Amino acid sequence: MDHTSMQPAIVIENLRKNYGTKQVLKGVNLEIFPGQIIGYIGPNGAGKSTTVKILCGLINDYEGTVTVNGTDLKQEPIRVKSMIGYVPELAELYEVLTPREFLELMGQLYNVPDAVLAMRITGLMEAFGLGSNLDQRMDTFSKGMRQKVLIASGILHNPDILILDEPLSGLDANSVIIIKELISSLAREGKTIFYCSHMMDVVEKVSDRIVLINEGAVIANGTFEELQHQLGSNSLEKIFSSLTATESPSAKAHQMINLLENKTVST
Amino acid sequence: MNFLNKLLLRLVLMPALLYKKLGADPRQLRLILTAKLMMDDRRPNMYHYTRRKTEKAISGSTLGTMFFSLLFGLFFLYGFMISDERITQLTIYFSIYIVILSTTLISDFTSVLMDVRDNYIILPKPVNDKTFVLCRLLHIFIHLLKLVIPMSLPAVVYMFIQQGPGASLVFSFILLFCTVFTIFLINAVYLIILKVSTPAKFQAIISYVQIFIAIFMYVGYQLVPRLANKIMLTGYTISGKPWAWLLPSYWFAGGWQFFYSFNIRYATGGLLSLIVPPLTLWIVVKYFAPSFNQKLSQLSAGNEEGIKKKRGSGSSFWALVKQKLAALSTGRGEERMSFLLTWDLTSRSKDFKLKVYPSFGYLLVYAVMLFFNNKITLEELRLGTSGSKLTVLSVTYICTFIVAMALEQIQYSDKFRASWFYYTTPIRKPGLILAGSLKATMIKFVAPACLVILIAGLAIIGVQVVPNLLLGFCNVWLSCLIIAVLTVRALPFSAFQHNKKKAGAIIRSLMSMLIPLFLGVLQFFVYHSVWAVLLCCCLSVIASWLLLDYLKNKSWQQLAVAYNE
Repeated sequence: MDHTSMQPAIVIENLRKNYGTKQVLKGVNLEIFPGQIIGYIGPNGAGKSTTVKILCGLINDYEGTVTVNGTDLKQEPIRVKSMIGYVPELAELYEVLTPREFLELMGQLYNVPDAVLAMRITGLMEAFGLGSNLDQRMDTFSKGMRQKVLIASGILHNPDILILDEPLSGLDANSVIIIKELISSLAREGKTIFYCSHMMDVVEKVSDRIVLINEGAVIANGTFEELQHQLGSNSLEKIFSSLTATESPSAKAHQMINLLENKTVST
Repeated sequence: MNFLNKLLLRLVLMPALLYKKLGADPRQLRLILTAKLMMDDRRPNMYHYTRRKTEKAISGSTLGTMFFSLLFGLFFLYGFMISDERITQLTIYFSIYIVILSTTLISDFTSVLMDVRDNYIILPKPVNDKTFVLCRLLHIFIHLLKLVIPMSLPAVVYMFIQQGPGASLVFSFILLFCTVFTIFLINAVYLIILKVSTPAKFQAIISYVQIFIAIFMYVGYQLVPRLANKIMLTGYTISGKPWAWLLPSYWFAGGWQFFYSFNIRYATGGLLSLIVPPLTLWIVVKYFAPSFNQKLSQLSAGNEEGIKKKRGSGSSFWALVKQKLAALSTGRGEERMSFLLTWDLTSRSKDFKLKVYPSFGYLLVYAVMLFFNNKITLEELRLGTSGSKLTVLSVTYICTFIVAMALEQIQYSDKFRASWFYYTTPIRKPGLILAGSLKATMIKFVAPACLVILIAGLAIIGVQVVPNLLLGFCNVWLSCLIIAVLTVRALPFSAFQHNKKKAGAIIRSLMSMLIPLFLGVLQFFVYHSVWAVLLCCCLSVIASWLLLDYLKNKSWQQLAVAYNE
């Protein structure tokens, strides 16, 4: 795709964030264009969630600038927040509410008109097969059901930008297909999708562009084909491991086998 | 949502224009508060905690809370009956008010205040900070109203009837200041807890507060009538006692008196009660709130780096003690595993602590009361009159009930699904698991109690009580074994606690209570013959040994337990 004529949807410039003395983000730079699906990957503790939390407005004491559709996040957080839909990683929702009550609250906070909102809630929940659970309290819901409600709450207001943090966890195969299909369709309509996950095979298939972050800095950024070409590996899993693992995974596995077989560990 | 919530919500949202001026969005305020109040209504409050878990969805807990506050308020009126003198009455009233209001707020509302989910659910939405903060404040305010109005109503009405509208008005005014002061106290408690511990540990501390409340209530129920009698009889008065100035409730009482009779003492009290609360409010707003919010946001940022890791029991002194005791009392394998599991989970599971620890408190209080009620002199104890025999035996055999309660509760857990490992690992005799768990319970909860009783017995009565205490302890162990064999139906922490007990189970647990009673009566008759006592000791030990063997050898077929889905 040619982006030169387009204005980027998200611009992150020199983003830094410290927790005490620990620097979690060490100057991240990114440009993301409308209609793109960005696969945002990295090992645990790489600064992935911190980036997402900053983008969503959960953390606001960062250095650097984040601009969303030309609006600075620090200057006008409310305007930026209304353009973004967020599906958090842990199934965080108010369990004692019913999906209808919860989604109504979410939609109204985004100022979706009541009639439209009611239609979308029933429509989305029915599409997810939760039509009959609309008025049950969510404390009895399974992880997959909660995840569906959360995804619905993220797209309810038809946002320009959708931030998904491990959105497929707990979902059955059919729902996974629906969500993948949904993500591609949204991107075709010009929405920007920021997709965080540890599941390399999904990221490999879904994303237009892959951004790999490690120890607070972007270490790879390009299409899957570009990364394949640059690094000479054929799967994203291999690329990921070659860039981020300090020891070779197969050596570690070997160590474990030796432990189980009571052999002395040779390194 | 019930009408009360609607009413309170409308009341609180009246100054919508003011909120708008402050920079908040009244529409969003209403939305979020509505949802919050709805959730409050469905959340179990402190009156649900100590009860058994119900399977029915909770609704209308607001009304429940208000009803209980009203009951509390009525109970506070007792303060007015204890003494003839107003200042003493009021001091007692305000003391109870401050204690109950602060403990209720801490135990009941902390989870709401500390709700980290808000940060994930509300903050990413286009809601500005001012709306967010104001929403929190108003939510707290509504909750406070729900507690304070019914709690203070009985006393305000009482004042009205007794001394007319003026007195009642002044009283309400002073109560308002007293409430502000209580909020300061709570804030201070929160801040201190956050200083010395981590936000993650907060929940554990709160459950101790809840346990404390339960025990405190029981003590109050037992002690207050006695104390009241004493005060009535001796015509006790608080005024003029210098230490009374240490009680803020005394200032408030003085504040009220000040409106009726001028007196330098009352004037000082009045002055203090008028100046201190606004001062504390200022401290809260200026110093406490910012640092509190900072801590909260640290908690919410969810950065593991900021939060200290919860310690396991790696190499501390107590962990060593635990390991040693396990090695001494259990065999390798299933039994020891179960011993350690029971030991650790009974001190870490909030659910278990909330259900069992208050009963330990009750028993302790009960044991102490036994001593004072029977009015036995030391002389009688040494001589071993039948009254003193009864006291010694009841105190000893009460230990059985500690185990009975703990054993009952150890079977249950919120995380009962985690018990899959009993069924997937090659365990041949589940009886060993029961035995290990029983031993852990005995050593952890009963052995310390026995030690205390032994030391107390030696100190108060002397060596001659030792054989009888020994027999008592042996019989406690025997009764516990019998109870375990008869009543324990599930492996430790593997069952979901249902509300309804089966009739059979109730009969079994009632029967099991008769066992220590029976053994106690037997001991009562042989009490004075040392040889008979020692002989009984041997018999008891042999019986326990056989029973323990039986328990250990219980097979899967005998237990008839299955994984709970």
